[in-house]
Amino acid sequence: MGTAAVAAFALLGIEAVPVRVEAHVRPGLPGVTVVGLPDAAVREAKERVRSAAANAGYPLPTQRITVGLSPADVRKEGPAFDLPLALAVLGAAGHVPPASLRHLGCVGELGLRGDVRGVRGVLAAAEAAVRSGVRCLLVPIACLHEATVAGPDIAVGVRSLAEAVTALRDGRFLEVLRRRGQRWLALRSRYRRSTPASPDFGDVAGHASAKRALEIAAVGGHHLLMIGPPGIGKTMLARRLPSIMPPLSCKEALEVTRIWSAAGLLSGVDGLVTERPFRSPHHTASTAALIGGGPSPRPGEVTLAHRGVLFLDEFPELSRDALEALREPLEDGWVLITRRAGALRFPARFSLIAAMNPCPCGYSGHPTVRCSCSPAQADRYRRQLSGPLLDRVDMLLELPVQPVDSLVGGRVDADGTSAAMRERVMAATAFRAERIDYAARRGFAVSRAGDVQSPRELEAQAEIRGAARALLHRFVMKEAAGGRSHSRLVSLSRTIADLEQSFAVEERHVAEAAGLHLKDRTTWWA
Amino acid sequence: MVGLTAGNEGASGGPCRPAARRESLRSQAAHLWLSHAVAEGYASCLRLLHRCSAEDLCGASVEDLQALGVRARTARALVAHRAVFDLEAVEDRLRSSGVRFIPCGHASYPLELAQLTSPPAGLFVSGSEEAWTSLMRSPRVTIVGTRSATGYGRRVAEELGRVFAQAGVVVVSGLARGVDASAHSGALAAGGLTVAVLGTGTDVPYPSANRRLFFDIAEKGVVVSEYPPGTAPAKWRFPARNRLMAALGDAVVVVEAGVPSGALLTVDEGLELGRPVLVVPGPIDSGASLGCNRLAADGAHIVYNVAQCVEDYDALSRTERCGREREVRCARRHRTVDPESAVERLVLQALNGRALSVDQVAAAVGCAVREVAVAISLLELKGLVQRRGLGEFSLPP
Repeated sequence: MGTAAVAAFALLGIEAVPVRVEAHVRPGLPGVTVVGLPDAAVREAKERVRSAAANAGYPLPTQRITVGLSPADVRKEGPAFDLPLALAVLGAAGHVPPASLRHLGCVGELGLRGDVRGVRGVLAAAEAAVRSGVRCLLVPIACLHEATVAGPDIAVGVRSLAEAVTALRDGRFLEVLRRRGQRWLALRSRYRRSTPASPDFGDVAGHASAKRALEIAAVGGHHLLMIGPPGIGKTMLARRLPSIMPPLSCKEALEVTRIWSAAGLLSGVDGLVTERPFRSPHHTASTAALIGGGPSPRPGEVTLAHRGVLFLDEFPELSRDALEALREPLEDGWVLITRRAGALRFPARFSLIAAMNPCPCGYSGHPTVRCSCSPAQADRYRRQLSGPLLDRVDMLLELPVQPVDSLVGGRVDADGTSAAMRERVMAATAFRAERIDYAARRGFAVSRAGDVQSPRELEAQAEIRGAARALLHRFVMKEAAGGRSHSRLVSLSRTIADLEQSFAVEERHVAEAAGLHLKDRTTWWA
Repeated sequence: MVGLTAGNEGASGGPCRPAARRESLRSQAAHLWLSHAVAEGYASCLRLLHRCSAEDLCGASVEDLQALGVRARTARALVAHRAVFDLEAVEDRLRSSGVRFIPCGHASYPLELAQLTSPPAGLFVSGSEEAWTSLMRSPRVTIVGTRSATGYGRRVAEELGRVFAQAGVVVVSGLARGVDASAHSGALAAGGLTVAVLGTGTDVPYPSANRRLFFDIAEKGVVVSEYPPGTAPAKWRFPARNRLMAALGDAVVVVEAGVPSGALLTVDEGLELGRPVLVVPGPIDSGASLGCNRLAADGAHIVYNVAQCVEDYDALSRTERCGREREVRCARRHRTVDPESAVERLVLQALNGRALSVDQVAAAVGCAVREVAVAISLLELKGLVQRRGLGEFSLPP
């Protein structure tokens, strides 16, 4: 009888912090008290632990049991504390040798029969475990692939509380579990659900300039707003964007996987997420769902789309609040969710692809169909998108009505298929990485690839000189564009030059960028 | 005291063509004296330069002058002034101050000034010789405006100075506070050539607030005046120099002008000479913009965009610049940006009489969408193509 302690992990947003779970068993009226800012789910853990322990064959002692969670000022939530709580109590009760708990970390929810179930944020927990020097991390076997990503040497998958206790009592069984885990992972990857292939751009006839804009967006992660009458192919185009996006780098993959793990979306994925996320929330999404939030903030769609695409169809139909809340992530590449308990920073470096009709009825500016909107209606629709929001969109693209004959024939030249586009995008991405590498070698400050660059950094690396610079000035002066427009133009020109694998930004790149970016944002589709 | 008529005749004779050299020296001396007389307030005799030469005026008696229409009192005063004129002292002073004197009729004397009803007898110039020559050959614009400029006026003037300088247009202004100073500093900031036309001697930094600007211009540009070095500021000399500003520019741009104002006098002089006038409109409840807005209402060309202003200047002042070696560089740069590329010509042809989207143009001309997008963007910048409706382009009406 005495005390025992084990490491657990509390999920804060998408990061985990180590939490020490201590249990003390002493004579007294039987009962379990949990202290240290537990939420309802953690408080209820004592009932689950009691049943699970009994069913595993190690009933809790009929004594006074106190469980402390420290640091006591971090809010602990969710069922991930079940397993550490059980092991700490069993350690204090003498069922598990306390020495075996010394460098142990664990996460997992307990079922009443003693089975260990998967929880959110195992990857973040595993990262925190590696950081804090844990030597063995027990995780639910359902989440073993996540834990293996961050800590392949320490992660051990367990199915039940009984297994966990046996392993801690006998090191040989731990080895058995380890080997079983490896077999399990191998099996899993063999039977892994192949992700359905993204549809191909080859299905889209015409729309050459839209395809070009999407190609640019795929290379530079630019934001794009498509506008056109209903049925023109906006959604069709957007859905095909993932088919040409370059795969995630290792570092990006880890970032994305951490987010998905924290959001509990990893079940269908084998280890790391390697495909770029494509999120398309419905336009009725609430601000919290889009940006992230809740009393203990959880990542929203912008964060789930990190390093990928956020597709917002019927853009102006989103609530005004939700639209305006997009401003910060569009600009900065992250969101700061501030609640009473503290502020959390979620990464949100996504490429926004938005689509909308020119007016509520959708036929304003249509060559044959008459628009049935009253001027006031159209005006209201337009005003839904504020200037500051539109100002942050890199490319504004009008999709004009395609002549029917170009659709019926369905002829798509080889340049317009996903394979050809992807090839160009990959070449441009590789060139871009090389160029940034070179800039770093020459001593320019380089933020991590793909991050939002400061205007100064952008300017320094853009290699816009001479005539191209003069042309850029003329464009900016003509439109009386602001500083943001200027730096957006620089960045867009840079991407276009990358697509051509040109080290210097030339006049043609600037001109094309200006054609896509510089539009009178208050009236351009009216 | 040196009598000018008998004057320096024997003073120096060059080895070759001594007579011609003597002649030019005498002419220079006569113009110098006339300049001093003008600075003293006898500006009315400048009109006579259209009827007789400076040497004639120099040698004229009171009766001769009266015959030319000069009032008796003025004629007597002029003759008396000439009698006490100390040519050597003046020439010494010129030499020591590094100010050059360009008499009317000299090869470097701007022809535009000779068009004035009262052409200056000569120009006193501080600044490098190259600056003056390149100034004579360059397109020039006069930027004028009120001394009590608002923030808006100063901003626009500076911006205008900058873009004109970038386009290789020399910015002419008067070094006054407010708009003038901003226009000068904008041009200097862009590394362009700028000319300050003063109402004082070219060695008198006035107003003192623009002292630094004055020296900057003297170093990198040209400071010019019709008054000899040492001439102190006097109220009447400033309106008089406005005619020089108007004549030196190929167009007059008014940034902010109240009513009445010196800037409007410059505009009147400019109109007299047939110079195009461009005005920057302002808020209608701003006193500082009243003159501008009134000019706009009277039909002056309105500046609605700084960059466009250069192009409008280019178009409007063509006749002013014709026959001279004066090309606005922005026009030239235009052509280098786009040597009227084949694609652009094709695009213009395709858009003739109809509105098409980028994709449709590309299909019509058989070029890559990328190239067509570039061409249309550049054409739009030049105002040769207009955005119309949803993603369609057409030729402007």
